[in-house]
Amino acid sequence: MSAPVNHSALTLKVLAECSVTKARACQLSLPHSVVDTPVFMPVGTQGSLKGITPEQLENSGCQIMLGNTYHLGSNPGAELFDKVGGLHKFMGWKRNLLTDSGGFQMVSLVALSEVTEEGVRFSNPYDAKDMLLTPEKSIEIQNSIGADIIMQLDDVVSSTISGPRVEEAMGRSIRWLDRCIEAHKKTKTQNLFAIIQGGLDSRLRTICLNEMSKRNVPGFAIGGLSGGEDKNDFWKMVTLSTDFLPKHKPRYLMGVGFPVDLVVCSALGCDMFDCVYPTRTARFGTALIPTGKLDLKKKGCAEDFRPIDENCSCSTCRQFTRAYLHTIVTKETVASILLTIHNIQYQVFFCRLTVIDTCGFYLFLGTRGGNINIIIII
Amino acid sequence: MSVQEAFKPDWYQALCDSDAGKVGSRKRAHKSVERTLAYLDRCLEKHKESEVLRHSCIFGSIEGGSVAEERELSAKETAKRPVAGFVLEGLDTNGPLDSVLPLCENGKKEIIQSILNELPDEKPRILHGPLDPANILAAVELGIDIFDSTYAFLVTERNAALTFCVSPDTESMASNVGKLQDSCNLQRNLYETSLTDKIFKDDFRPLVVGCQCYTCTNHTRAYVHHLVNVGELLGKTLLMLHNLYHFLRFFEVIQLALEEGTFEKLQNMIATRHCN
Repeated sequence: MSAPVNHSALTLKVLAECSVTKARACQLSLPHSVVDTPVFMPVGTQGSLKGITPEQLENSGCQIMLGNTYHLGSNPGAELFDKVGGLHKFMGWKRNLLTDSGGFQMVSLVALSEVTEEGVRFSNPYDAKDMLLTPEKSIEIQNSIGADIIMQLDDVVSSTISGPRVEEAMGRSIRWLDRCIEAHKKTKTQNLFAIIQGGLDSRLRTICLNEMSKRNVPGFAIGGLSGGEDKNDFWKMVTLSTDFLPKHKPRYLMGVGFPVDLVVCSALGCDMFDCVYPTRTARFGTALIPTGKLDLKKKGCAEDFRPIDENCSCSTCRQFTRAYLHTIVTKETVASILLTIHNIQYQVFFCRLTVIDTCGFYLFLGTRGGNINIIIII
Repeated sequence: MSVQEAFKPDWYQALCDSDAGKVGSRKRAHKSVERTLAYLDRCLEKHKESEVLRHSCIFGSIEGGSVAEERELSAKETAKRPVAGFVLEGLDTNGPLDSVLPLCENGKKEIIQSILNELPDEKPRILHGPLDPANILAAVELGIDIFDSTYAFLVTERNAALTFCVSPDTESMASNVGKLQDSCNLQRNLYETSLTDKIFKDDFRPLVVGCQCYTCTNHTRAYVHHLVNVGELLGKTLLMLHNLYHFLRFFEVIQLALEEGTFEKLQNMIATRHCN
């Protein structure tokens, strides 16, 4: 039997591997541009990154960003994307996009949704209409949006839940993956990723890993984590997954995270991350710096004429001081934009620097990661 | 004055008393004139002594409420002082966010005229406040030199784009007016177009065809409509970029018209195409 034809619009080149941990530096080639991994992907839910123009985002070093299918499917809607030719064209973003399936809202809006084998029924908060999101519908909308990476619709349960529901969700996610693969019309330009589920149960995770890796998908995501579970359970599931998943395909750890999580999970072999944390915390006046966080509202910043980070080359650090930012933070809208630009650039470069070369990662832990106490048993 | 010394501005306005109110008493108007002149003299003394403010210009303020004689007095007296320019105070509506400063109201035009009659030709005159294009032209005709961007800002705040014709090269949305007025009862006037209108949902043209601003060269009406529709911050950013550009372009056009001697033609064009 001949090898399955590779339709994927993605290639992963492993440039270097850490000799101590499972970290690796890769080059991920996607339809719109190349991405250096490990990569942090900022979240632009509704086709925009909270006040940042696509040009500013490009200048901050971002190579791939997220859009949310649930929101975009409601506004402006799939029909409009078909008319304009996709979200890239609509928002003027030349690099890569990743859309999630819309399934995460199942966890966050659980009171308004009902899950059956058919799909997820939402009561749409925008217009109070009922919407049924099936695997087919999710893929159809994502095909219209046109992102370089699209996610399967998965049955997500909160990581704090245990019992038979977790196994049900895991099994259903496998069946929904097959339906998504079947429904996916644009395999040459869009990469469909599978999402490993199974909660915090290693037996269930292993079953899911076994089954999903049999499907010929271009990449895998580790889902159902980063939902408030104990960190000790969290990393165990991550490392279990990366042990199993093929090395030549990218691993996307969804919903992660804080800088310390990026370091740990890169060490555990993950390549891609997304989180609202840096952009959200920017809007509250907090900047990310090598030693942790800088609260610009604090009085100590009032006469501090240094930039947020002296080693940062973002447009905010090149032009503005902590003192200036202190006067406008939480008062002027532009403050949240300036901090967002910094936090995105900081987090994107931080993530990339976690793996410099074969030996770089361990050195990195010694220097930049110095404030973090990590005990990892791999 | 110590604040001015700390800021080191290129030009600054001397402290003044502008609280004469829209319909103030003569007595109050007179007080504001006297007080302002007294403040000005004290500021001028400090200005003279100040090493730091050597390269900054001090402007005097014309007060007097709506009383013509007080205005004339204020103008005459301020003009005697060694100021670099004049700020015509107390004519702003200070009203609701969507207000425009109409010069044809409450005899404002006449008051401005009476002020300017007393001021030297070679020093700049500033009129603050949200003035729409017709009012700007009226003010320019009277002799005002400097305006601010309040109007452009207020247009942005209500999710609208400035779309009035600034040159033969840019296609005005006025040609779409017929359709728009049918579908959009919120159509304020023909200077601006509200991007909340559903008619723009799949309109992939720039805000103003031919405009070279960042928004018009990179984005579409449909995208801006989407952003304001879902409350995304970028919507207002893109609108402000356009509105400021468009507004500044208008001033370039005014300067050109004055140089070419076609100012009246410009006034007629704005009046016929854009005023109700």
